[in-house]
Amino acid sequence: MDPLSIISLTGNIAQFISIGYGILSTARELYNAPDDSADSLRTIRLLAEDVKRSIVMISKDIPDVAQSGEERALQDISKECGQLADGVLAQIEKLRIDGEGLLRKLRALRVSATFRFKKKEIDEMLARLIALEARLRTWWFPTNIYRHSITGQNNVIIAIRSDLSQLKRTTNRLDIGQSVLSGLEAKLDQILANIESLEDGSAISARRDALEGIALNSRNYKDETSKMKRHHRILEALIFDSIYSREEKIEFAHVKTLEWLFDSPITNFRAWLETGSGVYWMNGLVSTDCTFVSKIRLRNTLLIFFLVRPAVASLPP
Amino acid sequence: MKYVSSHPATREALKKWAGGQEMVIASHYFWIAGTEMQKSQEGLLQTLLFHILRKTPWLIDALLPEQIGLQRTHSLSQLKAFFSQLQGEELECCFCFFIDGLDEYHGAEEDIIQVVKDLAACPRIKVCASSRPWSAFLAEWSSSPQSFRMQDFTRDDISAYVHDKVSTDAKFQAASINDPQWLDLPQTIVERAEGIWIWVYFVVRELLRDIRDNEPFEQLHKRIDSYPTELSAFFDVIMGKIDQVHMKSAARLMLSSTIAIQPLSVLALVVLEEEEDFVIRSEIYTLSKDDLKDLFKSWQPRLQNRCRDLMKLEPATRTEPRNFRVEFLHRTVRDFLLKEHRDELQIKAGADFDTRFSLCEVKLLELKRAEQDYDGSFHGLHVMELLHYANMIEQEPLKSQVPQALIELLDELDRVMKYHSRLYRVYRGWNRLAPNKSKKWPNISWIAASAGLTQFTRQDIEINQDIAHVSVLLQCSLGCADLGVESTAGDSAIPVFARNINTIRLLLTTEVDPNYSINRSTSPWVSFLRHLAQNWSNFSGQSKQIALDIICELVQRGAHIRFRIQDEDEQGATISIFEFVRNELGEPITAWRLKEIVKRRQEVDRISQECHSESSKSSNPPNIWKPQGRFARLLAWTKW
Repeated sequence: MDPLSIISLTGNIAQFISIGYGILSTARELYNAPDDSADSLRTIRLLAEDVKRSIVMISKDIPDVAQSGEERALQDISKECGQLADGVLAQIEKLRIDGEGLLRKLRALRVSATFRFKKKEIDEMLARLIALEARLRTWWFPTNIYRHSITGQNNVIIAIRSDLSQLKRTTNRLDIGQSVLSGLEAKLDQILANIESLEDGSAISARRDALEGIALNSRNYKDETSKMKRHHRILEALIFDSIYSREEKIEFAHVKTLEWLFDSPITNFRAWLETGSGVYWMNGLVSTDCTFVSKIRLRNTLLIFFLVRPAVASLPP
Repeated sequence: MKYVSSHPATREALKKWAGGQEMVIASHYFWIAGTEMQKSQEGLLQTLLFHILRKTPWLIDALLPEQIGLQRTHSLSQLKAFFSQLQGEELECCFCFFIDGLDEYHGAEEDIIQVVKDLAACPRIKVCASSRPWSAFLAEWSSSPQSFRMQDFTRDDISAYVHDKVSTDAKFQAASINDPQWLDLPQTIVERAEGIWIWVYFVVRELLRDIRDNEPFEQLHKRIDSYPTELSAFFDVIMGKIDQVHMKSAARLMLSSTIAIQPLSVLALVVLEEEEDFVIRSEIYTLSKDDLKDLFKSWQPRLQNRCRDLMKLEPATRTEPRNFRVEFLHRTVRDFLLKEHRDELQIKAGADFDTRFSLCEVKLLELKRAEQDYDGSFHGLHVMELLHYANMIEQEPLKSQVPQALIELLDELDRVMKYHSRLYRVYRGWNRLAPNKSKKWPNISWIAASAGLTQFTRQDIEINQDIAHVSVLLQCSLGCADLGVESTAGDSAIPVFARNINTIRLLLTTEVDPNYSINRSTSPWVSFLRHLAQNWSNFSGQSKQIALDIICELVQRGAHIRFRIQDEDEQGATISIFEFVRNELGEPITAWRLKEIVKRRQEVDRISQECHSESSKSSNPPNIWKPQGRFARLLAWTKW
């Protein structure tokens, strides 16, 4: 299972749990105030949609065959999500039928016994969500040692970190800006920090915030990382060995001597850069390295002012 | 060519060309003795393509569908297809290619000339190419004004310049008759110059003064030796020559010029010399062309006294006939001052001098002295620039001046613009900017809110807490009024609402009504949502988060839950905020959170209504209900 799928799966599970909390609280409110029937029905339909969508997203990332114990554990958590989703969907179905019934029945006909019964089921599902959330946390951090030392990191975190440093190496080789990478790193740290903050003791609302953080950041992380990988693939297909070699050999001995090039009374080059279009031709300004310019030619050439140093070592551009 | 393409001046000049658009520089170096890729068309195009995509990865997504680019080799036709796509698409991106050594291409010269011309056929692409003067290239380009011959610019030129200036000087000629070793002086200068023109200008000028003052020959030699050819040491010497009396105003002028986004006008010199509150107290009157010319004449020698030759006054140009500009003698001066001397200049300018504030003053004075401007576009540019500096102050508070000074300055700006807007008929800019679609200057409160000037807005709402007023301010600060004030260069990707977040938060502490609409136009709330719907995919993750937080906050503040998102479509279906966030923006988590906020809000509304009907005799009902006692308990119950 590749690190990106792990991140994405975790994010989706976090989103599922968070939406689950939202759904259950909404469902409970629907029981309590089902007076706006048409609107309630629409809400219920959307609830079902979101549950289904988020479970589809989870199943997309589950690997067919689990390789290690860690992956099996994650698979189990995903399966639990699936089962829980079934339960939630069943509840929503009941609600929906009730809701349609309500259109016909009088509101007073709502029987308090069935209401209490369903509320119990909702509370039970809430408990399962909380348990699921705890499992997700323990999956990431098998030991509490993590909080005090790096040695406690599990293999998954190591794999994700090494995936990131691989990206860093490619970025360096292709000479691309580093800003996106540091953003990615910050997101990963944010995900881990959010997972850590999923304390059992804290209020559900605080934990929901943390889950939302995980879901949001991991979605961003996955999107940006896979986009970046695609960019790298394309750039690596375009780069060739000698792409920089010529440029690197050129080294002006007296770069300052060309300052006048930009002086507007002397040349119109600057004006062309600022407002011109088409082609500007520099007649004679050719980069030369010493292997091609003999000493005599040097003395006579127009290029006397931008002679080059012998390319003793290829200096970085 | 490598030197040219990587020179900061090149980048700076091309940025001007590109305007606000992204600008990409890519270069290729032909080499006849290198690999196939170094001397072929494929190599040229693939190298350019690599550098373009390396610098602007978003073009990959815009131009390359998923499957392309994965194979190792690319045919010439594939590469050409990409470039014609690059020329055809409406991209917010300008390109400048530097191609070195066309004569080292391994095919016919005519072919490579055609390739270069094809590349430059698009107005967003230009090409700077170099080659040896071979006949095919000469035939194509030698008559073009967009070219130069290197042999015209060798050290012979420096030599000619020096001889022209020094040898023709009467005193010099007289001296050299008595003492032939004087005749070597020009050559000494040329030797030492090492081709640095700015060095030559300076030394020749100083030398001529010495000659005029009958300095002995040894002194002249000392003079030449005293100017190091190492540029930064050279500048240190020049700086040391500035008279201490003038040091303060010189330092102020230089600091201002390094930060200003375009060259200062001659009026800046006036501002820097005058009393502190001169600009604010000064009357509004137009300076005639002759007045400006007089200013130019009187300031030219004085500027030289103050800044030696580091700054110069440029005469008016054809495009801006009224404007005399203060420019650096050479663009390296600006880089040098920024890098090496900024702190030193700040000390010399005095601790109470704030460059950004001073630039605001300069702009205000320019507006006060400006000509009548029928479409207001010149005035508009000055206002935008002033707001840019004011926003810089917002990012980092003023060091010494009380914040009050900036507020007074903005009030004065209001007065000036009201004066001007009596005279001109229409300015297209203002109706884009003002939520009421007026074509006159709106008012400073709106402008300040649009530009994210929190200090000003804070004071403003202390005076006027009218719901209508703060609601329009909210609309301005959310960026829906489309005031084209961009934040500082480089981070143009930051949307207005993210930059103005402090102002927005401030306004949300007042009794603002997100649903209030001015002259029956769209409310801040709906125009904000429309703005988001149109641009959502372009925002960064952080901006999205800020936008979602603002939505939640506005819903809590009573924004309409159902609205029409389609513009001008009175018959169109309404959509709920829940559906909008979930389906249009694709943010289910926030959507469900909003659902709860809405429930809670409705609960509070219901309770407050009940409470009202119980005590309807109480006079003015407060606009916002804060839960207390019994309500607070009910709220806690809904909260879970």
